[in-house]
Amino acid sequence: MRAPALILGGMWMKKLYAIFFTIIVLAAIYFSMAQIYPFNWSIVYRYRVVFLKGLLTTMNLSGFSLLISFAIGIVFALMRRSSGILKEFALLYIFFFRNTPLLVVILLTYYGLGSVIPFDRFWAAVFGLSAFEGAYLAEIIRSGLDAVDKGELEAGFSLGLTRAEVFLYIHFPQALRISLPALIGQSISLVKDSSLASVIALAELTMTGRQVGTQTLASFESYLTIAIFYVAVTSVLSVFGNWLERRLAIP
Amino acid sequence: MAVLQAQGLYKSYGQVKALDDVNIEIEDSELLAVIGPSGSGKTTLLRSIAGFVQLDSGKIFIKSKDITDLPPEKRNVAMFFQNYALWPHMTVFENVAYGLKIRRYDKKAIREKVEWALDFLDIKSLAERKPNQLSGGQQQRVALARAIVVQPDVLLLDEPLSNLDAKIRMRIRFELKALQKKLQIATLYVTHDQEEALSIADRIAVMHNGKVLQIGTPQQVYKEPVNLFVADFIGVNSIVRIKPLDKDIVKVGNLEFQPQQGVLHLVIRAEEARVLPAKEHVTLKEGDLKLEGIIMGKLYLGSKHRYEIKIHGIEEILFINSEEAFKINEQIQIIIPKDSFFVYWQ
Ligand SMILES: Nc1ncnc2c1ncn2[C@@H]1O[C@H](COP(=O)(O)OP(=O)(O)OP(=O)(O)O)[C@@H](O)[C@H]1O
Ligand SMILES: [Mg+2]
Repeated sequence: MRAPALILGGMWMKKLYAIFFTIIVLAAIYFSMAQIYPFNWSIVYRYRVVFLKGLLTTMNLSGFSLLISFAIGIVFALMRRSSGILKEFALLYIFFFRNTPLLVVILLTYYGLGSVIPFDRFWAAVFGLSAFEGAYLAEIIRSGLDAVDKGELEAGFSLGLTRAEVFLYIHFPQALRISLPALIGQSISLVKDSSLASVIALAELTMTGRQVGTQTLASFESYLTIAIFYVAVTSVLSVFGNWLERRLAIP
Repeated sequence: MAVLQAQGLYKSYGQVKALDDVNIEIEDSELLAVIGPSGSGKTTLLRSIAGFVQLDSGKIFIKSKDITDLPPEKRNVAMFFQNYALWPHMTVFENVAYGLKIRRYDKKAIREKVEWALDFLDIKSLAERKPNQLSGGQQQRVALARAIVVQPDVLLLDEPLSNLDAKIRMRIRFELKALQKKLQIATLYVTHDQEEALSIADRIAVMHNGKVLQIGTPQQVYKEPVNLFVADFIGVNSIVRIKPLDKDIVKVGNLEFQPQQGVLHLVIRAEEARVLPAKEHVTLKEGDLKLEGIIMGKLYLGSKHRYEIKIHGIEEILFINSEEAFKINEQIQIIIPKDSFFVYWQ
């Protein structure tokens, strides 16, 4: 009974040491820099509402883009696995968006597409980001779908399940499980990539940081602040991902 | 009445003829074993009956109903997969219950049927486990339970025992046979193990290059093979090839054969041949073959020896097992009963 507790204790101790050590190093760097650069955190406090608004916009932008890009990912993964014209179209789509910088895609949706269909900045960014990340998600989901044993699907058919039933109850749940780590990784990338929406002057987190930084000359403080916000949002995603992975794990 | 009829099935993959005019029938509660070497089309035949292979031509009937163009899920044919293909995200119970669930049985009926199937295969205690928590043999039972619980018209088994080790195979072989007889399901059983087929099948179909060469009871296929390929594929054999030198009679041991086109192939069922000292007097029955030779080498196999024998006047070496002990270079005679060797010109 004692040994496992000890091992567990050992693991926790190691983790604690690591955290403690990291904090010490960071604090040392911070205070040595503070010798040269006079940190003024009251500015961040004064602009707290602006920062929180930026955070909210980033979360909204990421949230909508996640939903839409997952939908795009699933649809295009299926098209990619089909045959004929749909497959060719999906291949072209994925090829285009994987070989174009996101910055250009966002410029294209806002200034290009936006001159045909009137978008506001927010939706232009959502569509650009979704279209771009959707291409990556399509590839991830496709490889998950490919990785499921074909025999399992045929077993379903031969027991009388229809195509839709096999997909919904056997194929997709398994593929999701297989590709979950990659999907979480891509979701985290999406949140970080959303910072590029600042190029069309959408007041999301990065834009906010830049504005506050240039206005108050406290660039260091405001960029550090938004960096911490990004870490917070992505940490929530990865904790959620770990939880989901553990929950869906097959013993 | 035949439960399953397959008529004139053709399927080509490019140049390869996977099915070449295949005709088979399976009677009610019959077990038909399909055997043949790798690539002979066994799996293709099975999968075309299950509906996973688009045939080039031919018709398939189940209980006299044409199912050739029906999709797999409408055929009421259960397939058992070599790697079991259990669904890892569902428990054993859910795996077995799924086929019933989508057939819209009510909860109570599903529970009863699943429990019956699990009981039948002696795996009731595993109901709440996931497939990854089972041994290979247990997984196999679950896969079988899943296949039989929906009461299919035809059960298709593709090398069901090939993933098990030799000892368990022997036991499961007979269990499977008993199970199939108890359930009275028409069954098509694919294997490349001729011994397995001989021991459990009601009838055997021998395939080669997409063709069914012979269909018959194990006895028929073993005792009356229709050609050299079947004769050689079934049983443990020694083959001797003799090229006639001229138009004369070909003499092999005590027998004489009229020369025909090609080379004479003598297939000897090595299990049935007896090796005796050359001096010993034996009375031969009409048609029995007697060969004389000399022991070239021997291999100890536990209860018997495997002898390497050079027959006088024949270049090829025969390999024959015998319980008796002979010395190297000892003169011997081999007696082969008349239904244990076959002669083909090819
Ligand atoms: N999907 C396919 N595409 C191309 N060729 C195929 C396909 N399926 C089978 N074949 C070919 O058809 C022939 C018969 O294959 P099949 O799988 O039916 O053989 P088998 O008798 O089951 O062999 P094994 O004992 O190795 O399982 C083989 O030559 C094989 O290469
Ligand atoms: Mg096969």
